[in-house]
Formats: sequence, C-alpha cells, structure tokens
Amino acid sequence: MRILVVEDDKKVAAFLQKGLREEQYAVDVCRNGKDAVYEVQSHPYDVIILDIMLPGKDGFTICRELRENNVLTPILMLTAKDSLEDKVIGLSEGADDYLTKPFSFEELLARIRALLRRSQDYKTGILKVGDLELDPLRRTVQRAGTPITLSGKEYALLEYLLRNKGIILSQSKIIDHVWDRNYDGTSNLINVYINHLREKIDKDAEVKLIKTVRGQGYKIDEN
Amino acid sequence: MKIKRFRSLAFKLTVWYIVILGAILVLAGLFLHQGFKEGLMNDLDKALVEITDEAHEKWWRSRGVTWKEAIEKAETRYASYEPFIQVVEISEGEKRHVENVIRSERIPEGVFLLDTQTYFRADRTDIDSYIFRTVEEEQLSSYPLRVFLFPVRGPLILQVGVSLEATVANLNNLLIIMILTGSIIMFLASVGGSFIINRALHPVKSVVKTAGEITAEDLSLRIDSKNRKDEIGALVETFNSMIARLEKSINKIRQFSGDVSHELRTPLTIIRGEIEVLLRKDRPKEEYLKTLNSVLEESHRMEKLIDDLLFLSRVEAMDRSKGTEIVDLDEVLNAVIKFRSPSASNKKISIDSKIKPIQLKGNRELLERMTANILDNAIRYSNPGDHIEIELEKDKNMARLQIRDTGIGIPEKSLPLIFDRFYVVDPSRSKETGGAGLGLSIVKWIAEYHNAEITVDSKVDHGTNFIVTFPLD
Repeated sequence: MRILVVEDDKKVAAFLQKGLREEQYAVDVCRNGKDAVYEVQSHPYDVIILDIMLPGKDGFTICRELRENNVLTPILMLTAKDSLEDKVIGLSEGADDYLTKPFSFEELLARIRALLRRSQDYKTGILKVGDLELDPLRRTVQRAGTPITLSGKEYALLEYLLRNKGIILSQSKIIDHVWDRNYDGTSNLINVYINHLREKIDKDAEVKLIKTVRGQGYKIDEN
Repeated sequence: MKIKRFRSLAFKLTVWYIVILGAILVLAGLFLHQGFKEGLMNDLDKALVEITDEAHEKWWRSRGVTWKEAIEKAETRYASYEPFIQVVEISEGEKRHVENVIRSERIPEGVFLLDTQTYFRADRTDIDSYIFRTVEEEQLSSYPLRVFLFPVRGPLILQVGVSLEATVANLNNLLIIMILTGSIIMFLASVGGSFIINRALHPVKSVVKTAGEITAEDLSLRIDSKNRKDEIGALVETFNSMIARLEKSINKIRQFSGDVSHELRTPLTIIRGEIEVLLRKDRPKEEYLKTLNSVLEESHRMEKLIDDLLFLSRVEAMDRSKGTEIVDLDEVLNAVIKFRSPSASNKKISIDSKIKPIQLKGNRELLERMTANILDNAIRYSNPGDHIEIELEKDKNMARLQIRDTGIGIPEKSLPLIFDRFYVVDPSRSKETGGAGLGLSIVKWIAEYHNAEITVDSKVDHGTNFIVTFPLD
C-alpha cells in the first residue's frame, strides 16, 4: 500500500516516512501543496497524510482541489490546530479523518488501516482468500492455520493482491502501489517476488491461489 | 438584557413629561381662575357702584323723595342683582353710634349691620378710598355678600350689598371646565407622548438586540445604523467601531495563541513521533544517538520559544518608569559581540565593529537582548564567507546603531511583516536555523520601549541592514 505524506517540517516528515516504511508501506514525501497535487495525479496513492499548515497552499485547499479533481484517495489530515472549527472545515473539504499533533504513532497506524479497510469495504480487517488469511493489524499470514513468515516486500505484495481479490493487476500497477518513487528496478523484480510468494504460500497447497494471467498480470483468487 | 417596563427610559420620560405638563396646567389653571375671579369681582363692584349711584341719584335729584322710596326704586331698577340696600344714619357727637337705619323691606331688622367703626370710617372716604367688603349674612343669602359703603351728607352711609351666588357659580363652572379639559389634555398628552417617546427610542431597542447577539466568539456582526445621522446613528457608529477594534484585537490574540500552539506542538510531535518510531524495534546504537540528538535539539527549540514567550509576557506588563538606568551602549554591544563571536566563526562569518562610546538612559537587559537578537539573525541568515558590520555612532542628538550583513536578505514583500510575531520569511529555512519568528517582534518592542526608531534595508542575496536610532536627552 502506497502512502503520500505532505508535511513541510523536515523532521516530522522524516520520522513518518521511516515509521511507515518499517510497516511495509511504500512512502513518498512532499513538502508543499503544489508538489502534492502533482504527485497525487501522477501516482496512485492508497492514503494521503496531509498537514494543514503548509507554505503556499494550505491543507484545506489541497484537499478541496484533489476532491474537485475526482481524487477519491482517503485523506488523513494532520495538524497542530485542534479547534473544532478546523476539524469541521477539514472534514467538510473532503478529508476522511483528522489527527492532532502531537499524536501517537500507533493511533496513526490504526487510522491508516481503518482508512484502507473503509476504502475496500472490509469489515473485519482480516483479508481472506480460500484458506489463506492475512491480518493487517498483527501483520501475520497463515494458510490453513499454519503461520507463514514473509519478508517486508513479500508481505506488502500479498496485502496488495488480497485487497484487490479477483482483479487482474498489471506489473506496473503493482509497482505503483507496493514500491515508492525511489524504485527504479525492472518489472522482472515483480516476477521474483511473485515466485517467492508462491514458494511460501502455494507450494504445499492443493489449490494454487496466485495466478498468472498471460500478457496481463497477476491475480489472487480461490477458483 | 430585558428591561422591566417601569424601569425603561421611555416610561421614565413619559412620567416626567406628564408630571411637568400637569404642573404647568395646574399653574395656568390657578392664574386663570384668579384672573377670572378678579374680573368677576370688579364687574360686581362696578354694579354695586351703579346701584348705589341710582339710589343716591333718585334721592338727591327728586326733592321730596324719601330714602325709602329711592331704595325701592333702585331695587326695582336692578332687580336682576337682587340688591340689599339700606341707609345708615350715624351720630355726629362724641359718642359714636348708629342712630337710625332706613332699610329695604327685604332686609329683616338687626341684620346686615357692620360694626360702627366701619361706618365712621366710611363717612370719611372719597372716590379713592370707598370701602368694599365681603361679609357673611346667612339670613340674607347662603353665599357671601359683596357690600359697598357710600358716604352721603348727613351723616348718612348708603350701604348696598349683592349676593356672590352668581360669581361663585361662574367660578365653579370655570373650575369644572378647567378640570375636564385638563384631564383630557393630560390623557391625550400621555398617550401621544408615550407613543412619540417609544418611537424615538425604538432604534435603541434594535441596537440592544443586535448588541446582545454579539459575543466574543462571533464579533463579525455589526449594528445597522440605517444611515441615521442623529445621536442614535452616532451611537451605533461608535459601537460598531468599538466592535471592530475588539474583533481585531481578539483575532490577533487568537492568531497569536494559534501560532504559539503550532510552534509548541511541532517540536512535541517530533519528540514523540521519533521516540515512538524508534521504540518499535531494536536498532543499532547510532540510530538511538541520532534520535536522542534530534530530540535534544527540539527541546532546545521549545525552550527558546517558551523563553521568548515568557519574556514577552513579562516585559509587556513592565512599568516603563522603573528599571531604567544610564547604560553604556558601547559596552553592551561589545559584550554581545564577544559572546556571539564563536558561533559566527563556526559558520565562517566575520564580524567587524566600529563602536563609539555612547551613554543613554535605558534598560541594560533589554538593550542586550535587542542587539543579541539582531546579531543572531544576521548570523543565522548569512552564509559561510559572509561579513557582518556593527557600527555605533553619535549623530547630533541621536545615537545610531547599524548591524549590516551580506547574507541572504529579505524579500521586499516580507519587509513590512518581519516584526510581526511568528512571521518567518521562509518557514522551511527558519526551522532548520531555529527561528520561531519571535526574535524581531521582541526587538521592535524593545526599540519602542526606548523611544527608538528601527528601520530595515534589505536586498535578497545582498544582505540586510538594521538601523536603530536612539534619542539622546
């Protein structure tokens, strides 16, 4: 899952990027509103974390502009203002959630998970296909009750596939959502990761869940 | 606020107005009544004289006519007055007494006699001093009688009396008419007056209503003066401009506390966030050190901000008359430069100074803080290799301090704003260099405290020159 952090304070942006990357999210950072609008239109983000007090364009304006341009990506507003008025403005300009600085990093993670779940219509939060289960809160994966250990990128790839169950995902789409903009590898790398996942998930199972659709991409499906 | 009806200005005005009007009416009524009464009495006295004249004439002109006949003739002639006429004969000798009375048949015996003294006095009167009396004589009339005494040779006194019945009745009628019209006037005046007063005060009610809706949370409301040019229009204008001033200062305070909150929350966010992320798993030692250093840096940032805020709140309440002394500005400057030199040379910035000895009246601590803040800014916004010049000189009765740098300069559009609290020219840059935007607002405050004028010349990429001009007594 790919997240855009729009924050002008270098250090705040830095710890957000570090903490979120360690949670296997792909994270990009923008330091002003103009760049943010451009980035959102050129990359498909799954969540946007948006500071309100930004140089140039403020968070409210960015939020409104994005919504006017039909960007439906969940937006979490992050700000040092905590007056009710600001919360109301933020939410009515199209933000999905609101967090006041200083905040607990755990809470931020929980809210991001909630936003991802909401955007994909999941109720429990546990992603399932056949007997394969992924718990985004505990970051655990199991097949038929047997725990499976995955590396960070393998986990991120599986989560992305599961969140788009039954949908064919092209290699470029997978790159967009699982890797941040610093990735400059070839699509061959996706192949490598898909093979690693198959090794760990499908090898010993009767039903193969990860499928290759020739010429189009990959999908995860139980039939 | 709801005003009780009887406490309202309209009610009070109406009451006052009615009281004053009532008093005027009563006074006018009294004068009118008195004047009317005097007029009636005069008329009556004239009639008495006429009747007396008639009786006297009848007796005097026609020889052989007795007093009795003359009296009867006069009575018949002036029957409408129903006069009582008699002739009183008084003694001529030493012993004063009434000898005889020739009276009309309408007067019973022993009635209608005045005291003897009065008759003797009447005998000596002439046209200027005739005696008129008002007497009670219940057997003749239930109303008082007006009596006229006319001396005739003899010595005889012709006494004529007329009842005041008609006069009293006239006066009573007048009184009734006056009371009736007075009451009607009072009623109409109070109704009309209260209507007019209420109407005149109506705009006040709408002012009160709007003013009641204005709160500290919402000062955007204004009272509609409806373009009135009267006293109420002026009141509304004054009110509106007062609200505007309030709104401005409350917005300033709100902006200030919002800025303070933002400036304090940012380092807190960094401290909390960095530590929480750090603690999520085991890390190499270097990472712990890096985070601890960063956290330390942020706590310095907060400390500086809190220090500045406390300074501002402390000095703003400071009494200008206290805490002033003769300060050697050159010494202050030299000390500040000495203290800041290491950080300047760390950044490879050179400092030159041309400082003449100058004494002025002021507060040493504040002057130190002011020069330190300007110098800190010069160092902060200069690049390695830049140069700072400090000059203090006397110019007539002024002391001029200039702190010039060859640093990054200030954009023209930012110049008018740099002394505002929390204004920073480039937020991303100042966060790296540690400025929260309070330094120059403190500088400005201190300059004003010393009645000094502060100006800034600046050009982007060429540098900035702060000029502070102190008046010398």
